[in-house]
Amino acid sequence: MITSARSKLKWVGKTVNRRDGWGKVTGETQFFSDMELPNMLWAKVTRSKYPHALIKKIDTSKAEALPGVVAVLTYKDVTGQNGFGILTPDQPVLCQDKVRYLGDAIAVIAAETKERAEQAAQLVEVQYEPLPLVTDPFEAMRPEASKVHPRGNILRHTSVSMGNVDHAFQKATVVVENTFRTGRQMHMYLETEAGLGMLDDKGNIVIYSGGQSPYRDQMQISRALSIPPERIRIISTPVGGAFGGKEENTVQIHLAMLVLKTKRPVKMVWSREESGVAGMKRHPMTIIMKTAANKKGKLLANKVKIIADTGAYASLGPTVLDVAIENCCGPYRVRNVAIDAYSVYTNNGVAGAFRGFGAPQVNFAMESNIDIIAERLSIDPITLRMMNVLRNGDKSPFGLKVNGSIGVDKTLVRAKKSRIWKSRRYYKSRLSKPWCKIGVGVASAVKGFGFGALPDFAAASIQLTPTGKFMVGISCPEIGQGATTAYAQIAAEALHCDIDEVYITSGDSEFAPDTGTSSASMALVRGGNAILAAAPKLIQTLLKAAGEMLHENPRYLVAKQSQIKKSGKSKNSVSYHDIAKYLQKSGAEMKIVAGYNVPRSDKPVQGTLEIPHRSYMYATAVALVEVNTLTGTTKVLKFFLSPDCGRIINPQSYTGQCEGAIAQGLGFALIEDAKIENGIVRANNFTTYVIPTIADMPEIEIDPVETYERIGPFGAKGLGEIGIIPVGAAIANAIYDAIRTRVYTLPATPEKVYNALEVKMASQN
Amino acid sequence: MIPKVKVRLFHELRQALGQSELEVEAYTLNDIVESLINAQGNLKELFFDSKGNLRSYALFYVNNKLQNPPNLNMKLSNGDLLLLIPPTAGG
Repeated sequence: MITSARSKLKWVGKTVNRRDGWGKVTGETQFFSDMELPNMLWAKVTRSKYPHALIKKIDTSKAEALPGVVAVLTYKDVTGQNGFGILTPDQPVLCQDKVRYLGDAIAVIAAETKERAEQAAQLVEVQYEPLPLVTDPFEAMRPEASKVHPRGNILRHTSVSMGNVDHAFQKATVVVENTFRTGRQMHMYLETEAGLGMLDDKGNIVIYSGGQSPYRDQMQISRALSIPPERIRIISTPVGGAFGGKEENTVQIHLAMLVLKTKRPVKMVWSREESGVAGMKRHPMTIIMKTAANKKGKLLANKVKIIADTGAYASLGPTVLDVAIENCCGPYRVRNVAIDAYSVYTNNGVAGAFRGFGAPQVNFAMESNIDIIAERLSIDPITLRMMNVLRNGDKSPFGLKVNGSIGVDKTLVRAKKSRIWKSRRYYKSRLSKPWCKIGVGVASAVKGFGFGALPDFAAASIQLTPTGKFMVGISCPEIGQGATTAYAQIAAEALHCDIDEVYITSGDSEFAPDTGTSSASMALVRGGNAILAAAPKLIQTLLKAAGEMLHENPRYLVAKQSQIKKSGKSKNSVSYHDIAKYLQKSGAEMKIVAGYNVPRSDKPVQGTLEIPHRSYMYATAVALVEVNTLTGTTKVLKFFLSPDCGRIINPQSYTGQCEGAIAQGLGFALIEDAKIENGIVRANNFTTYVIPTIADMPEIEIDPVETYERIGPFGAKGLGEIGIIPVGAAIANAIYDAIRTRVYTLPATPEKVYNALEVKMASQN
Repeated sequence: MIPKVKVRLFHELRQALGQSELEVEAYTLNDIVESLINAQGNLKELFFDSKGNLRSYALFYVNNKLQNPPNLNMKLSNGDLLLLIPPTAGG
C-alpha cells in the first residue's frame, strides 16, 4: 500500500475509483473480438508457409470459388504504399514477390462465417521458391549470408564513444567481461490482435481495434491505401492489453481494405497461434559487456557490444536499439564508454516495442557486472551502487548534464531499509528444505520517458457541456494502465470541479485531437500536460462570461468548486452550470483544443536517434528467491520495488502498474522465451509458452520515492516501463547469492540453473 | 503553369495547420516545405535542425513512394500527391 505525500491538491495524489473498473469487472466493457454487427463478415489472412522464400505465383481462384467467400484480396488490391512500419514501412501489407517470416500476409479473405474464411485462406495457392534461412543474427551479419532485404541484414549499426575506455581499463583494479543473452518474450495480451471494421453512413472507414495510437493507425491506413486521413476513424479498445505489441499495425489495414471492397462490416481476430507467429516479440539480445572499477568501487569504464535480433522487419527496431544504448550503463556515472550496437534482420518473426523497449535486456548485463565488481572488491552491492549513481547536476555517460528530477539514490536508501534487505541473513538461514538455497539480489534501473530527442507532441480538447460539466478528448488510448482515471484527476484539479463532472473520451480519432501514443511511458505526461494546456484557456472563457453575468472585472474572479466567484469573502458567485447556459445562449465557443510539445534536445548524441531524453524514471528492486538445487527451479518469494516516477497521481493505479511490471518481469527473468527453430515458432500458445500465474507471484512491496519532475503534470513522470527493467537483474543476482554460481542467459530456466550448478560442481572437483 | 500538388498532412503538421489535406502550387518539395513554414513558423524546427539541415526523420512520399533521403529540389508535376509524415515513434 502506498500513500501520496501531498495534501493541498484535491484530486491529484488520491486513490479515486478507476474509471474503467466497473465496466471491466462486470463484463459490460466488451472486447472488440466479442462484438458482432448485422451482416458482418469474418476475415482471415493467408500467411506464408515458408520463413524465407520467393513468391513465384499466387492463385486465389479456388478460394474465390468457395461458397460464402465474399472477397479475396492480394497485393494488387493495395492502392497506396504496399508497406507498413512505424519508422520504416518495409513490411508488405500483402506480399508480392517475397516472404521473410511465417507471419507474412499474402492474401486476406472475407467470408460469411469464420469457418469459411479459414477454409478459404487455406485454398489460396502460392508457389514458393525457398531461400536459405537467416536465423542467427551473428551469421546474418556475415557478407555471405542470405539477404533478408536487398540492402543487407544490418538494419542499423551505430557506435557511441565517450572518453577513453582502453586507458580506463589499464588503470582499473577490477575489470569484468561477460556475455549475456536474453530471450524472445511475447506480450501474451488477454486479447490477441483483433478488430472490427465498417463503413459509416458517409462511406468513411471506421476501425475498432486494439491499438496504442489512433492517429498513427490512421496514418498507416491512409498511406497504404492512399485515402485521406479524415476518411478514417479509429477507435481503440480499452481492454485486452498491449504492452507495446499493438503499437505497430496489426489488423487495421487489412480490415480497411476489406470493408472498402465488400461495403460490409468485417471482423478479424488473430488466433493465439497466429498471434505467436505474426505478432511482435521482445528483441532477443546478446550483450558483451566489459566493465571496470577502481579499488574504491568507482566505475571507470564500460565497453558494450549489443546485437539485437530484430527479425524480418524494422518496426521500431532502430529506436529500441537507441534505448538499449542509452540504458546499458545503468543509472551510473561512467566517464569512459564505448558502445557498438547492431540491430539485425533475420527470419525469426518480428521484434518491436515491448515494455522496457530494450532496457531490461541491457540492465540484466550491467547490473550483473556491477554485482560481480562489488563482490570482487568486497563492497556491499548497495553501497557500490550508491557510490556511483547519478545525482542532480551529474553528467550522463554521454557527457550531458542529466535533466529532470533524480531520485535513484533515494530508491537505493529505501532498498537498503527494505525488510528483505535488512533481514536477508535471517531469510537465508531459514531453509525450507536442505536442498533449497535462499538468495537476495538487488538491481537499479533508469529509463527515459517519451521519445527523447525526437519530436513528441500531444493535443487535448476540453468542451464545456450545456450542464456545466467537462468533456475531455484525449486520443491516446486507455490500454489498462489507468490513464483515463489519471486524466480525470488532472482535469478536475485544473478545472476546479468535482471529478464526477469530468468525462474522458479516449482513443477515438473523431472525438479527440492527436494526443500521440500510449507508449514510451508517456501517456500520462502527454495527455496530462495537454489537459493542463487547455484547461486555463477554458477557465479564462468561464471567467470572462462570469464577469459579464456578475458585472465584475474577471481579474477579481476565481474558479473554485465548480463556480466562478469573487475573490475574498464576497458571496457573489455563479455556477459552471449557469455559465454554460449563458454561453450557449450567446453562441460562444465552448470547446478548447490545446497542444503540448515535450521539451527535447535539439541535437541527439552523435550516432543516436533520440538520446538524450529530457527526463528519466528510476527504480531499485530487491528480490528474495529460493532455488531448488535438485531441479534448478527458482521461486521468487518476496519482491521489493522502489520507483522514482515523480509525483504520484493515483496511488492505486501506481501500485497496479508496478505489480503488473513485476509479474511480466518475472516471466522475462525465469520463464518466457518464444522458441523459434528454423524460422518456425515452436511456442505459440499457453501450453507451449508459459507465463507467470498468481501461483508464481511473490509477496510484493512497493515503496515509491516521490520527486517533483518539472515537465510532468503536477510533477509526475512516466511509470509504465520502469518497474519491469530491474526485475530480471535483481532475480539473477538473487540466484547467484543463493547458489554462488551465475546465470548469464535469461530466462533463468530450471535447465540453465541446473547446468550452472553442474558446471560449478565440475569445476570444484 | 505552376504544378498543383495535393499535400496530405499527418500528426502535428495536421494539428498545426488545422487541416489534413491542402493543395499547393509548387515546383519542388522545397517550395512546399517553405509554404508550410510560412503558414506556421514553428514548423521550421520540425523540418530543419539549428544548422538548417533537413532532419532525417521527416518522411516524404511522392505518389506513394518514399523519398529516402528526400531531395528538396525534386521537381513536382501537376496532380502529384505528397504525404508528409513527421515521426511518431521512439521509446
